[in-house]
Amino acid sequence: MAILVLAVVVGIAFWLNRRYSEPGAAPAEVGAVGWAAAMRWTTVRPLARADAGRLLRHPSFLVGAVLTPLMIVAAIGGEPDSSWLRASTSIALALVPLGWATIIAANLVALRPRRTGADELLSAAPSPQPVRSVALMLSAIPAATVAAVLAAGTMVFVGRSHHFSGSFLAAEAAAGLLIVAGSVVVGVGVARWLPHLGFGILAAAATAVIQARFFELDAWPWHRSQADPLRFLAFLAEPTSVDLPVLEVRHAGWHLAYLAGLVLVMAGVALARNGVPRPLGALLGATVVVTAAAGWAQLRPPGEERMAEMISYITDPVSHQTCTQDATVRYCAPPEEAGRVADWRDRVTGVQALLPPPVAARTLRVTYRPPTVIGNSDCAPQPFFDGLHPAVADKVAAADVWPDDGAVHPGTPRFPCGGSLTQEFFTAVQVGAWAVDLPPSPHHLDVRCSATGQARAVAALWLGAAATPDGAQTLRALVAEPTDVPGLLTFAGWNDPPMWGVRFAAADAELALRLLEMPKEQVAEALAGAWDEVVAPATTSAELARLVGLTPPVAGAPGHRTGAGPACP
Amino acid sequence: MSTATIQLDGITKSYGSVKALDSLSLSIGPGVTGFLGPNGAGKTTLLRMMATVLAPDSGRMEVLGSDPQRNEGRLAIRRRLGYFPQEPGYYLNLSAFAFVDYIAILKEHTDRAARRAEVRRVLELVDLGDVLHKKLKAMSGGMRRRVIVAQALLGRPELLVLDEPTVGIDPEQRLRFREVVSRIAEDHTVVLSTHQTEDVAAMCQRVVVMDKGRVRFDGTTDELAAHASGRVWSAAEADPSARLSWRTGTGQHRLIGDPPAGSQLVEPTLEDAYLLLIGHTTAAAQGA
Repeated sequence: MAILVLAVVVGIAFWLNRRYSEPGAAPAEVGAVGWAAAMRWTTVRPLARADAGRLLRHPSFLVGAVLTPLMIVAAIGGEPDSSWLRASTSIALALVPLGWATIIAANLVALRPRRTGADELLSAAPSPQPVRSVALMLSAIPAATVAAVLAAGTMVFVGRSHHFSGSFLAAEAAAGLLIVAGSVVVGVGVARWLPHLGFGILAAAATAVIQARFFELDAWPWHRSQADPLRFLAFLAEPTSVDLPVLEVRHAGWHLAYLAGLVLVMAGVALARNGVPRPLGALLGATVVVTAAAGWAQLRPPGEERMAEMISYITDPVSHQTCTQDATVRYCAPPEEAGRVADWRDRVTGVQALLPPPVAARTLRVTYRPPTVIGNSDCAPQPFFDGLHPAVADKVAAADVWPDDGAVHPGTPRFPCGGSLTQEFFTAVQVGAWAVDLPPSPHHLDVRCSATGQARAVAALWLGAAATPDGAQTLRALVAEPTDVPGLLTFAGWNDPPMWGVRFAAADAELALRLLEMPKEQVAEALAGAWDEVVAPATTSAELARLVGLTPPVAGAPGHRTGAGPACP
Repeated sequence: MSTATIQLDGITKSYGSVKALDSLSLSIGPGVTGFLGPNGAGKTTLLRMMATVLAPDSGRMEVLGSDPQRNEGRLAIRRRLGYFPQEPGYYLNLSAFAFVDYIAILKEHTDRAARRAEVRRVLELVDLGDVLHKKLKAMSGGMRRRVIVAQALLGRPELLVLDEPTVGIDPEQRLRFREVVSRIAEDHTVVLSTHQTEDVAAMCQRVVVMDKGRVRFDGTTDELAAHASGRVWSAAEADPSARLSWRTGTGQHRLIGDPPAGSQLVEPTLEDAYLLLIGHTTAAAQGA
């Protein structure tokens, strides 16, 4: 597919060249003077000013500029509560289309003498080609300035309706500005070496292909994890889907140095079109070394101290979390999840209000743990460990991250891929499951048993939904979600599934929905009156239905699954 | 080092199998030198070499004391050169002022105030002072060519190379152009290629007639005109035996060659001499 796209782009490039070449105007065989000892660099400044004006007014650049705020809003707008890490890197990513447009604009501005047939007239002027090239490339500064203003202005607008945890990461966002600046250099360089229309478009396409290769995890030339540091050799590297700044290993400063080095190398290549005098050769060599060093620096594993901090965060989270105690319930959350504690508290007290007093008085711990499966930018599910730096992932085990400690581990607060918030419905169901003695599980991948057809499964689902605002609606939506095992709630394709340790049947969820249509107090009283029976593993959901006065579901009917692994003890 | 502004020795240039310049040697000094010749004579090729935008295949050149084959020489020449190419090309979205200002920057006029004053000066010289900020795309072809003349005059260059500068320019402006060029040529060198023999007659102290890459005539305009002395006639009817003949606006026929019966000898113009010379050359080549 990539080859086909490339072939189409090359074809368009050559068609454009034939379409817009001046047939009558013979290009000057001897163009602008190359490197000369008597060169005057004083021309650079006024020339740069003139060229910058043409670049910033070029239709291609203007289109890119208009699109930039829209791209930023599209990249960030969908997540009203996010981290500055993700927002900062999204700003950089949103500037890439402006970069493509700038490559084309800079290329066309550089080729303007040729396109208009004025190259013979202009090349007869004394200003040497290296001076002209430097002046053109200095347009990168105003171009990047425009990008910065657009990004800042858009973020002021977005910030009114969004909350970002952490601090703004200027170095991350600045990568986007360097990309815009570098795009000017690429456009000029391509014009110098391939002075034909269409190659600017080809260059923009090539940068997109190169970047896309780095975004894909399983395409040639590699098969790698999401957190592989090799990705920092691209122009941009997204944060991993772990989305926790403490677990992100990013050498933002080195990446800026790397990008700046690439820009300078390209600038040197553009200037080399007229020869490589010794100073340019030395500068080019030094820049290549600096770029390579910066690239290598990004690949280094974190230092020992940083490694220890990351491992501690994962395996001893309580030491990095803030805990609060409410009577018999203890809540622990890291700073970035602290905003959810209030909702967890509401769900727990909501469930406790529906329980028999002795059950409600039991000790409970609600402790945040990282999700087991995370999603990347295109919502493809990735294991959590794939989001860890390989050096860190090698030193931790799943049992360290998700200990079997009997606590409720709140997972995702929303439907998949940035879908609607559930107001901690999944956590409420976990609390309900705890209340009816269903075995807790450390994480979603560790499904201990199947509660399908058990009365306590219905009770857990009902307790969770009844304690959650719009819980019935959420449960209904959950039942309608795709499943890979008919009759079971399996969260097929979810990149961040809830941490439910047991398998529930869709039929049991439907019975819970019928209970939700009854007065809450009535159901609670009926359950409390036969609590020991309700929580007994042998009690079926049909018996529960009779207990509360409902027609039991038909066993074996479509949607009711009586076997999905070992039954919960 | 030669004292001539331009020194050409054995210059040759070919485009494939076509020889545009055939071992041409010439020396050009201060004043206005006009180049005449039919299409394909090699005039533009030669002027492009003088303007350092084209390199010869062989031969030696020296322009303003520098060798245009070397970067340093080319740079030195271009700092003292004003060039009007045959097909200039324009930045149509720019105004006349902005376009000439841009070229002034490329000509290393870095002081902004001085540069803007110079741009204004040259545009006023070509009577475009009232339309400084008019966009080139809104100008007629003649006006655009005057803009190109203006840019060639930037910085009062020691050498002006003008390739058909008066094409499309109205007679009044052509007069103005002659006046400007003549003033410049008082102490500078102007090389001019044109099909307009009246321009050559009005401006040039020296005329070079080229054909098929070679010089056919090199001398003063009077000497060229004298070449046709006694060979130009006026008659009521055309004479098929005449070398060249055409009907004039008065209804009379102008004939060049041997006197036909009933004709009247007339004073030859430069154009008559040029036509006679080129016709001579063509006939000789065909005979050969």
